[in-house]
Amino acid sequence: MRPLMGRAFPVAIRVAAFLLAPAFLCARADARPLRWAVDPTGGAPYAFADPDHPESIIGFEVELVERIAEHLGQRLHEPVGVEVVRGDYARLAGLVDRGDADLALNGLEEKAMARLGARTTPPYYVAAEVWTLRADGSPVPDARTLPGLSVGTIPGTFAESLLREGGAEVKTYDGGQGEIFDDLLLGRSAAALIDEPVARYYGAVRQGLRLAPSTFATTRYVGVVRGDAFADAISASVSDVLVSGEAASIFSRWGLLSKDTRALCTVPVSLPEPSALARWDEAHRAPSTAITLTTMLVRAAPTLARALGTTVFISLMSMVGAVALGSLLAVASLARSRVLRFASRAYVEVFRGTPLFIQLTVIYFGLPQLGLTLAPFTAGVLGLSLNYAASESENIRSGFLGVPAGLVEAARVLGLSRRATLRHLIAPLALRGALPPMTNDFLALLKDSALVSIVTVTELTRAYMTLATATGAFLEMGIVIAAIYLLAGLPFVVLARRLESSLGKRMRTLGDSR
Amino acid sequence: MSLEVQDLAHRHAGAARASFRDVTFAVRAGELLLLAGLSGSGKSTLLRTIAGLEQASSGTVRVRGEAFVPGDAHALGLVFQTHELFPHLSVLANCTLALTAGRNVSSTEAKNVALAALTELGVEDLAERSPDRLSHGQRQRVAIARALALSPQVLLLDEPSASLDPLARQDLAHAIRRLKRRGIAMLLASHDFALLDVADRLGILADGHLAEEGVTSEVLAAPKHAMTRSVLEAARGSWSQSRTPSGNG
Repeated sequence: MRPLMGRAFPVAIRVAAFLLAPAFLCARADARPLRWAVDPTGGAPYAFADPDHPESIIGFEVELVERIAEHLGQRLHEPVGVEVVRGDYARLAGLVDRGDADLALNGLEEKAMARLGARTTPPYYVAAEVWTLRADGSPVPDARTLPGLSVGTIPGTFAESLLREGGAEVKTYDGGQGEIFDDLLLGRSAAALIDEPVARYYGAVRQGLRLAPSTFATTRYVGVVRGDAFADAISASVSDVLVSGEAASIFSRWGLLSKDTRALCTVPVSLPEPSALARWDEAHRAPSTAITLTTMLVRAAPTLARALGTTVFISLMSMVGAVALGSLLAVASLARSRVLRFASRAYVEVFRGTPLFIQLTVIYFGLPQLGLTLAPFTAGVLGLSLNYAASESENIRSGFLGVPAGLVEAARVLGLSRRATLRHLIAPLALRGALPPMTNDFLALLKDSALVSIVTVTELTRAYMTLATATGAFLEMGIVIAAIYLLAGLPFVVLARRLESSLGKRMRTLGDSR
Repeated sequence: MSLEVQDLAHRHAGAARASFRDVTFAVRAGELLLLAGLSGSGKSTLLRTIAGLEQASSGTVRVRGEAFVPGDAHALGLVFQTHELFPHLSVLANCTLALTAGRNVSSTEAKNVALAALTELGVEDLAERSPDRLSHGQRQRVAIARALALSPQVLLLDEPSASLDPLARQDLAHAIRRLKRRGIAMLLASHDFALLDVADRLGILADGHLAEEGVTSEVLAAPKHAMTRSVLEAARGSWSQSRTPSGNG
């Protein structure tokens, strides 16, 4: 065991280093990083996986942040490179707060950020809230028709609060933007109220949907920064990009230079054609030119491979942690001390009885408030380990209790010491009994590891969301990802079976002899 | 005397009555005492108490004149009715474990000793098998060999012939004779009177005490105790039953 560990440990570090290598948009080793918190599953046109090169993300905000980094470099007199920190839309500001990112900029609304008390950059974009409707001529909702109307939107947005105030029956969608418009097309909702960029890229391209010409309201996008000197430089650089006319050119290329946004920035005399929007439209309007699934998969392969590696690695590390902690808990639960027994029991009940999602969120976003800030990967593995330790302790405990008392007595009569009995008899038999439920738990862990995406680690499920939002291939990608999960678990099932049979055959015959 | 039991008594925790009391007997080297009694008369408990698995409430156990320390497998071995072979170890490993892990004997030497013990019981060809692939009779003999590998002075066997077929019973009787010739003192709890042939002495455990104890032929010829007669009748009944073709073997 020991020589293997000796070799395995550096390998583990190397694997971790590979999987966790930060994604730089500008590959400059000497550059000071501008750590940018973004949710690529949010989709076009903000920041999304390039359908042609899913390893990299594109979008108007990607270009904007690249410009911001450039100006930041000029202000600081040193090169600045953008480092992407992937997070969940709802928790991007939290990433800046806990120090994992310098700038969160991803369609974050000024009002929502003010409510959070976050320090923000000047607004860089004004988004119109527009109605998307079925093309069959349903009327544009107004204050009179809104009450009771079923309307789709993104949770936590200004649009949602407008709808709730208006008395609409709000349907929110946490997943890809596509679903809001799918449901609208299918008649599950009457309309969608959403920021114009989303409506333009996901609603307007659908056959059978139209955008209402009027603007219902507007909302301003801001970046979130920390309260330090670097943050001031970032804010100043945002202004630089707006004043220099670069922002307007980017918005124009993406077909997003709205009337209200023009008022925010310098608009150059000559603006580029909306080529990025045209390219998107072309890819999404004409199914004949759509890329085949094979092409899509070949392009996605590096992303998927890396994500699979992350999923398996996190699961393995977490399982090791869970079994180690679970063993201690199991021993405590069988101890003579009532305090130890109670502590073990309490731990198991608390971690088994509360959602893993909440445990992870508390560890990642809650502990920093107490001064303990863990790296994303560490936080993810710790959360899963702590949670699964509860089940593993139960498995190990029942493994121990499952060792027949008669065998222990036989060992005693044969003169084996307690230590020798534990080592040669109880431990192997307990392990053999605990192995099947442990294998089941590992398979569950493999799937539960998807929850660590909330701590900015990109694993399989997050990779799926990113790729599916970028390509629209929710079904095809879903099947592929499901197959990957299935295949990823198989080697461990086989390994467990082997181990089980090498620890001895069936327990059943032991019962026969009694 | 190889085994001396003096005024031994035992009471289960919380039980109103003692399982047995005032049990006194002795077994010489190479001698076999068959301990008979109705089911529930405490035969197994007596064996377990002698071996130290149950706490005696009073009395002493001596092996070769010295107080027996529970776990001293060189002094005394116990073969369980359920055999209790370690399911994750081969037959050979079952027999070597106590030598290598408990006594620091080299694995080569332990192997030789264990193989000798298995050969003594005629099961050396099963050495590499897993216990769950053995018949009841084979398991029985492996369990005896496991105890024998530690060369005990005294061997306790709990219901060794239970659920053995007639042929396996003969093999067992044969093996017991050989062990006696090696000078091992044996105490055998059983209500199987087929084993009377190998018993030098016969003890009847009834009503919580050793009702009768003496040379087998004498006890059989003239039972002194009323309880002895009923025990003997019940035992004969079960014996003849187990010899009928429909017997479960």
